[in-house]
Amino acid sequence: MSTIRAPILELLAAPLDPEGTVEGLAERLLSLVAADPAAEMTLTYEDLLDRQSQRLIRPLLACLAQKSETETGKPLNLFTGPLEFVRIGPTGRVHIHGEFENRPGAVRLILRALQLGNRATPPASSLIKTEDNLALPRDGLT
Amino acid sequence: MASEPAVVTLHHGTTLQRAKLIEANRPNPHFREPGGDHQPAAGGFSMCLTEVEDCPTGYPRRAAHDKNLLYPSEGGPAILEVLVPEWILAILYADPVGAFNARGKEIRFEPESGLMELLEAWPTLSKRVIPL
Repeated sequence: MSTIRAPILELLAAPLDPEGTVEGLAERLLSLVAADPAAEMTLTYEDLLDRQSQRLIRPLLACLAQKSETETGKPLNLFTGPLEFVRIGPTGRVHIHGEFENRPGAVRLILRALQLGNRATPPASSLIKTEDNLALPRDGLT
Repeated sequence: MASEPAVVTLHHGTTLQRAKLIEANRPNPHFREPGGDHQPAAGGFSMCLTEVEDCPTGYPRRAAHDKNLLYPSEGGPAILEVLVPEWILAILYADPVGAFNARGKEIRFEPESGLMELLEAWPTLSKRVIPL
C-alpha cells in the first residue's frame, strides 16, 4: 500500500490559480491518485492544517460527489456516500473508488486506486464515458 | 431620497426546519450536525446564485432534497432565498479563496469572505423560505 495523502495536502495548500475552479482542483486531485495505482488515502478535517485547505475541502468534496454521480450514473447524496471514477494513470486506466462525508462537523474523504488489468474487475457502473474524453466502454476493461 | 442598495438573490438549500431557523436568526458558523461533535463546526455559509444552471458543487434545490433524505424529520426540503447586497459579495470576490469557490458557482461566506458582514446585515435583508 502506498499513500498519496502528502501530495494531496500539498495540492490543497498550494497557491491558487487565479483563474482556477474547484472542478480543476478536483481533476488534479484525481490525477494524483491515478498516478499511483496502489494509492490509498484517508483525509479528515483534522489533517488540514492551513486555512486555505480548510476552506477548500467542503466545496471540493461536493464537486467530487457531483462528478462521481455524473460519470457513473449512480445517484448519490451530496453529503455522504461512495465515490467512483476512472482515470488514466502512467500505466493505463485506473479505477478510483472511495467514500466521503461532507457535513458541518463531519468532513472526510477516503480514496483507493486500483489499476485496471486482468486481475480485477471494477464495478461496471464505473466503466463509462467520462467528461474527460476517456471513452471507456463498459466491457473489455478487465 | 436615498436609493436602495443593489442586491443579488442567493439560494441556500436545506430542510424546512433549518431554513426557518436561519431566516429568523442568522447563519450559525458554530453549527454542527448531529454526530459531528468531534470535528470543527460549519465555519461558513454556502449559497448559490439563482440563475446558475450548472453548479459543480450542487444546486441548492438538490442540496435541500439530499439534506432532507438525511434528516427526514425536519419538515422536508426547502430553499432559503436571501437578497444579499452587492457590497458584501464584493468582499467575497476580493478574497482569493472566496473568488475561487465562486468561480465554481458556490458563494461561500466565511470569516475572510464576507461572513461577518452578512451576519451583521442579516436582520435587514429581504429573505423568504420556499418549501419544495
